Amino acid sequence: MIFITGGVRSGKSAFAEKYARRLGENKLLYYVATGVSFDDEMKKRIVRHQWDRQNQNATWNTVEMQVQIPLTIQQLSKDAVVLFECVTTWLSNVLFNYEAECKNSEYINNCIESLQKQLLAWHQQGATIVVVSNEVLDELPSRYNEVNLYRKLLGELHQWIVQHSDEAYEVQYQLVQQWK
Amino acid sequence: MFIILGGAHNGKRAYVEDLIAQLPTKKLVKYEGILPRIEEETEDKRIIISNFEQIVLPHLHQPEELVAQQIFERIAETSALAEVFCICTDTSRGIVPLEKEARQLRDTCGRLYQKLCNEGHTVVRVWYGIPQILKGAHYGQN
Repeated sequence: MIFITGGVRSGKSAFAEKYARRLGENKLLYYVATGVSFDDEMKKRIVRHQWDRQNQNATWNTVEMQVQIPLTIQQLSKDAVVLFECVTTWLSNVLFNYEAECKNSEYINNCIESLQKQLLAWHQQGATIVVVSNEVLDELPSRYNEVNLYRKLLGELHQWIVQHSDEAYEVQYQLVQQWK
Repeated sequence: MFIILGGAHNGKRAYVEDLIAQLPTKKLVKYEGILPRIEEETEDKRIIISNFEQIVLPHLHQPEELVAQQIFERIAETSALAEVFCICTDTSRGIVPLEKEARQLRDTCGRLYQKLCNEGHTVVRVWYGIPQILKGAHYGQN
């Protein structure tokens, strides 16, 4: 597993996509998109990402998801490369469902556990996983409890992913620092 | 003095605990959101100071430099008597807060962390559990 984070507009997606493509021409590329196009701005962001991928000499199988990993990609071959983009929007989807559907806090833990299990399962199947996320923890706590819960869950999940990754990178304005 | 830097929920505390486990045993005292009382400190003690935001918060009516200097001096005096670990949560890389008090808090903590990093013999940044030594022996290494 490979973990890649960075600030907004840091070049982390481009680095992640290039990394995935460099793994070889015979690989099956899966782009797992967790962004939900709930407004015009998000639609534009998604179109920009789609456009970037179309302009590459590679074929991406795009899989859209919100919280649960779709059944069709739960079992993959060792030739598969999964680019999971990204942990921050995935966790927002989890917390959004939790609030919108008044679920209990077990729901959040179960979602996180099932994502962790799937990442480990892909690893065991021999697939390569590239996980993208954002650096959002270097500021003062929010006055909103929901945001602070999000920060805590995200930080802990990042720690777990880094611990289970073979390589971990932080991207700052296209400059890449390999932490692991 | 050891300074441990990093964003919130990045594993700074766990790193300090791992580090301490490798050092000779000493009596450990934790100060969260308060400054150590100097008269209680002796050389056989190891001290962890954390939650600097809480320490700074009651003093925001005073100038940033003065507050940072006063807190720094207390910690430096403590450090002369005991082994001190400062856990500093980096809050300096977000959007400028709208509230004046939050801006002052962030600025004062930043000023204080500069002084602590200048004084400390070892400064380590922790990124999701991975340490990077920014100052001291083994500079640049994990």
